[in-house]
Amino acid sequence: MNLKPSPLGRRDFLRTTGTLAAAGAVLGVPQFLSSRVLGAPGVKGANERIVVGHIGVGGMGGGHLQYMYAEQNRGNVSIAAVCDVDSQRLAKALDTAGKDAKAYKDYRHVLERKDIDAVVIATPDHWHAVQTVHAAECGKHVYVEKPACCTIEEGKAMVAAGQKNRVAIQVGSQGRSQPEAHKAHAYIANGMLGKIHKVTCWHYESPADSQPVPDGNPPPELDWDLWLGPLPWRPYNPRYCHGTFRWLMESGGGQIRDRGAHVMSNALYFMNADHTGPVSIEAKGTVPTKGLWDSAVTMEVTYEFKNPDWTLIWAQPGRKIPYFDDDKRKREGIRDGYGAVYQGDKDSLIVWVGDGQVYTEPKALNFKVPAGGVEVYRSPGHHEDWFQGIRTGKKTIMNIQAGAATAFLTVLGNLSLLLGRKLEWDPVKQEIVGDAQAHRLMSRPQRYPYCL
Amino acid sequence: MNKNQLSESLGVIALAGTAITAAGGDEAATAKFIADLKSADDKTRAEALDKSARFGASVVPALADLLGSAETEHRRAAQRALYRLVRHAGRPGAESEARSVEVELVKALNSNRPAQARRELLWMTSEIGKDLAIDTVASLLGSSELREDARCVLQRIPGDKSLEILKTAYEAARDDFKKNLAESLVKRGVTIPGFQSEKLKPVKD
Repeated sequence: MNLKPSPLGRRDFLRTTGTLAAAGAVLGVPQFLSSRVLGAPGVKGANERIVVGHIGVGGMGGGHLQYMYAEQNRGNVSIAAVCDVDSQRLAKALDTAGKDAKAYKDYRHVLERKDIDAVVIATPDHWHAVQTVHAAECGKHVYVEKPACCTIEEGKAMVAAGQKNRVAIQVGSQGRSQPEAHKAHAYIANGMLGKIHKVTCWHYESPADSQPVPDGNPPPELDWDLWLGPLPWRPYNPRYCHGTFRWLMESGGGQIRDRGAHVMSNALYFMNADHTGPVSIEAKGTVPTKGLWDSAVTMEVTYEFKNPDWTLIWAQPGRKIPYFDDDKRKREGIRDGYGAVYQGDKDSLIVWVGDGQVYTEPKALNFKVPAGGVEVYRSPGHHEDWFQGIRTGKKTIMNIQAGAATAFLTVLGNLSLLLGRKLEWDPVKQEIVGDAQAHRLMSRPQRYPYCL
Repeated sequence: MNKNQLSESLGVIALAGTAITAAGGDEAATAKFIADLKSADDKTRAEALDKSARFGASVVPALADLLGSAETEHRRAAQRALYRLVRHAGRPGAESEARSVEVELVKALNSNRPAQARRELLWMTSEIGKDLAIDTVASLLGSSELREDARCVLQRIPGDKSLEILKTAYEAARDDFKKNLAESLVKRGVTIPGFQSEKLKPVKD
């Protein structure tokens, strides 16, 4: 897919800014000139300064906000809005974002603003798809944290919304944009491993809740109903949030989703398999027997791909391979608790970590693409690649098709574990075959109005 | 669904339930299973959880009772075991087992158990339920606490009966729930003239 943004013409510009100015005056909301409009003389504008809103500003969201603040100081973006269901986090974010940003609890206020070009979504996983689809329907470009979706239906809806509304969606599996990922990719793409038949990931276990606490009332700063959003209602428990949502199947899904969305994203990318999927998925593992969290503590998932034939294994903990340079590991804080081995018929290659850190072996680092060899895309940085996608319509490195394909691996791995059986998957239709119950679980009805 | 149809439907459920209980009936084994699930010992609990699927429909009533326990960890243990059981019963080629479990889930839903326990039972039913469960689920559309879950379950259960129930409920619904039902119908492929989802409308500050 090649996105073709539809910049506004001068007449549209005048009409839009006139309307915005009037609306802003009435509402008392600072209004920004969208990047789609022409820049004023002496002002970095037209198609350069992107107006962004941040939805979810704790955890990774806080990191994105700080990054955008630096970009704002460089004149590349304007932060127009911050949004969170936790008023304490929101107040902190407003301090970071600067005086021109407006704070909201309900993300739909952000989407209503015509002056906002793009949103950064860093909410818990169960919100990713709904907010991405809604943002796309409102014409916003989207950077959404990984994993892209919680169900197959959600992923398909995200892809469809991106295509229909012609917006750039970047999923936050930023490993692909790291310099050493580029090196590993080039090494593999140039056939240095021969035909790759197996990729084996390792990652340390998910935690179990060793000190469970009973349900209770949510803290006053938290809008619990809005935190739950699409999920079925249930009483608040401190183990749901913040951050710990990822140890619950319905809102997170454990390490396979949190870090699998990085490590397996790189695997699909290096294997040129973003557009494909496995034909079978089989998981085994252990789950907690105490506390609120229900994601697998240990698990091993085997994915079989066809045409070409290869096997992807997610092993938690699997067989950890320590980073080869211990001094560098300590010096740079390399988190070698996860990574993957690419096994070909000529050689193998280790890629450590996989997210904001990616490290690989010297043979790949020292590799020079020979004349006539395969040059692979070198990302300017994950956010920068997204900006490029917004401005030019070029497909982003972790576009929503790739994001959904990666998330599907994690969803299907968990589903196989929950159901206790092997699943057959049609990678073309992107659906489970021969298992009515599993087929039903490809989607999860959502609470109204927090639905796709 | 009218009253007669509902009574008839529940009669079938009761008969089926009796047969299964009689066939299943090792009370001592069930009691030990439940005690093990509640055990403070991690290994004992894990072993009991692994046996959940093997017990099948016969332990659903005891687990449903435990799901309504005042003790948080007991409720969680019951939930884990019930889901394990439901997911095993839903495997391909085990249709009669799935229907037996469905019967027990429906009976458990037709009780005065706490709303949160019935909410979980509703979602379990959504995974394997068929026509048998629909009248009971539909009756919960009248519950202020459970109607949204019941709507979601009816949306998920495939087939004409669930669709017809959603249509009937939509026609009869008050304004404060009509759009929810319309959303389900749209998801099921029904066109509703004039319906506009409020999903993009902010409701909070």
